[in-house]
Amino acid sequence: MKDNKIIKGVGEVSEETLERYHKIETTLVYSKKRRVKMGYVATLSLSLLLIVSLMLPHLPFNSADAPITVPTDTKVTESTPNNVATSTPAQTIIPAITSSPINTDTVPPESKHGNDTILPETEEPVIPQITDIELNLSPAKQYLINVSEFKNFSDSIFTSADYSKYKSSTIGSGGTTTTDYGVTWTYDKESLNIYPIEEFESLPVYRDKKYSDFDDAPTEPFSIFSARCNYAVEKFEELFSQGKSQSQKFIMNQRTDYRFTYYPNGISSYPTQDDLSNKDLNITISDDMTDEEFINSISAFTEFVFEALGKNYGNYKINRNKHVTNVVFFNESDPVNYSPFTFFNFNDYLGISTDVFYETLKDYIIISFSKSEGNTRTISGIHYYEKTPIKLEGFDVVAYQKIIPLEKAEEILKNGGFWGVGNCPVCGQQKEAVDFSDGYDAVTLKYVYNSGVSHEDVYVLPLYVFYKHLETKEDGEEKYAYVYVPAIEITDLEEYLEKQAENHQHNK
Amino acid sequence: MADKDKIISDAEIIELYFQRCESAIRQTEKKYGKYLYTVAYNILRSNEDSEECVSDTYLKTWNAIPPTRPTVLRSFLAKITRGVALDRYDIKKSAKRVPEDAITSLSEIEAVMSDFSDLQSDLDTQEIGRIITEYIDSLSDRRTYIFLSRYFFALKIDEIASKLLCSRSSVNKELAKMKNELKEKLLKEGVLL
Repeated sequence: MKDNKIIKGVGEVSEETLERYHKIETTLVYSKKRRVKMGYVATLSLSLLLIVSLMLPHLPFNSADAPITVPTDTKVTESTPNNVATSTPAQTIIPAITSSPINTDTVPPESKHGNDTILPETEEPVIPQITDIELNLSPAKQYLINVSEFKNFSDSIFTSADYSKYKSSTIGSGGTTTTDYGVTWTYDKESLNIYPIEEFESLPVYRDKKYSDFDDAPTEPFSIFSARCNYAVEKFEELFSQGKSQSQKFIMNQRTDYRFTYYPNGISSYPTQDDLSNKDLNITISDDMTDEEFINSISAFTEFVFEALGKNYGNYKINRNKHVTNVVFFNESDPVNYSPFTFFNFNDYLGISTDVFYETLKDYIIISFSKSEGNTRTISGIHYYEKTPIKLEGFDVVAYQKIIPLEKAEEILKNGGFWGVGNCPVCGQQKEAVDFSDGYDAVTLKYVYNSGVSHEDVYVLPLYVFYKHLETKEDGEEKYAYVYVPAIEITDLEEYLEKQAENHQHNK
Repeated sequence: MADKDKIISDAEIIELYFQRCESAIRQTEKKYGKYLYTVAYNILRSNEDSEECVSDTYLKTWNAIPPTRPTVLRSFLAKITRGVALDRYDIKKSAKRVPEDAITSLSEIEAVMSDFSDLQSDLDTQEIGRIITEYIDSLSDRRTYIFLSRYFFALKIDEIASKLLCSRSSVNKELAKMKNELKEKLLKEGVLL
């Protein structure tokens, strides 16, 4: 992604072109949906026509003796896309059809004409593809252990079909050999172990909260910062709030207002050059500067940021790139893992280096400088993050389910009963098949949820993730394939495995 | 409908930004909040990250207007949201927070676009954007919808197929054709070596 200028280039398409897209969506997509509805109506009409036609000879009256006229306000023949009703020999029974719930008011004008740009379509059925988010709940280990002490778990309530909503059960044709696996890279095999496998009796099932569940969201989030703030903050004015995020304006007695966006675990700010000029903080750095010169040149600004947040940091890391340079401040006590230097930049606003695994930092500030003129750069963004060790406030425990022991899960894996990642067919063809019949190299427990529906009730289910080592790069980075096995008992496991076995046989 | 609930026009919202009136952000959220959330969510597939993306969008919009006066506010906002979402996508991916299958949509785009890896490195993305815009403007409505759904809004193939009431393979074929056409155009324009 970082190197793909096409993806970035698409982001630069004109606003007019994007607006055209929205207009197309309105006319093309919605008219197609309406046409489907109309298709149902037409089908219904034809069915009724057929039924009534067949019944006509048996009706106790002669249609010729009792001519039925079409009411003048009836527009059925106009409402069907191809004037189906008028083209049938049963035209005289149209009044019978008009008594059916056809509402001509719902028929949009465009559906009468269709869309010339629509290409012929194949009859191939649509194959659902599930894409999931895996929750990085690693800090929640302690929470999970506590939960495991809860002994009163309920009977199994989930089925293989429930899991199939989350993970693809369409696996490769060779039984335990599959191309439907995910791939992950790591320098440390232990990092795969999100949840260590322990002797749990049960595991919690979570539900993703809805927006409405966040009534207790902090109303004055900046209070946590104001307590530390050396600059007297007279008041906070809310700019806006959305879900758990709020943006507020610092109104300071010594400085001009300053705006931040607040998140549950951090804040961001994108100061304008005017903002910075007003505070005499408009710093320009040069690419020619050494790290020390760079830090010294921005010291006034960092002092301001540190003071405003009541923070101080004993360590920093400068990351330089053609477009954006940034500096990450963090505490020496934080465990920091460095990966090989990689960098990505985005648009004109901000750039982040990835040579620090930010996930391992609990508390850090990133100040970014983007290209200005020549070899100079100016401040483009400030991010401050302070992470809480456990971050499950977005989820409720809704059930405790009996765990599938690891030994049983291994058996399921070896018998090809695992779930894949739902690769597209083309992606699958491009991958080498991996065989899980002879075991695995690492296993962990993970929670996943189906991200298909944004704010409906979404369960977060536990899965075993089995990793198989594929290759090791020269720099030591290792590539693993992975598949899933449910970690809690499901009601129809045996049937599911039998069905999978049949599928394997069928695919051979 | 009470005045405070009234959805105002884009021009009025833009004017509020120019007046530095903070209700501009509230009005933007009211009118386009859900839309922007969807743009972000299609890329990130995370409620929390998407919410933060949208919040960032508002702040960046506040900083961008003035002096910028968007010609089409909705698209202007969508471009910002997309940029922010891609940033976060990269952060999450690089930090190994998001496994490969969780970001299928964009991973697929990367795979599809791998043919373009030999792009001249010093080319301005805005210039590429201009060429792509030119290409999109030459497409039929249906193909424009498929192209932008996939490569701008990061919709899944299934979602596009579902909206167009056609099959996955139909959408895939169209995308493959367009990818080749775009590649030819980029070659012709000297973007690709």
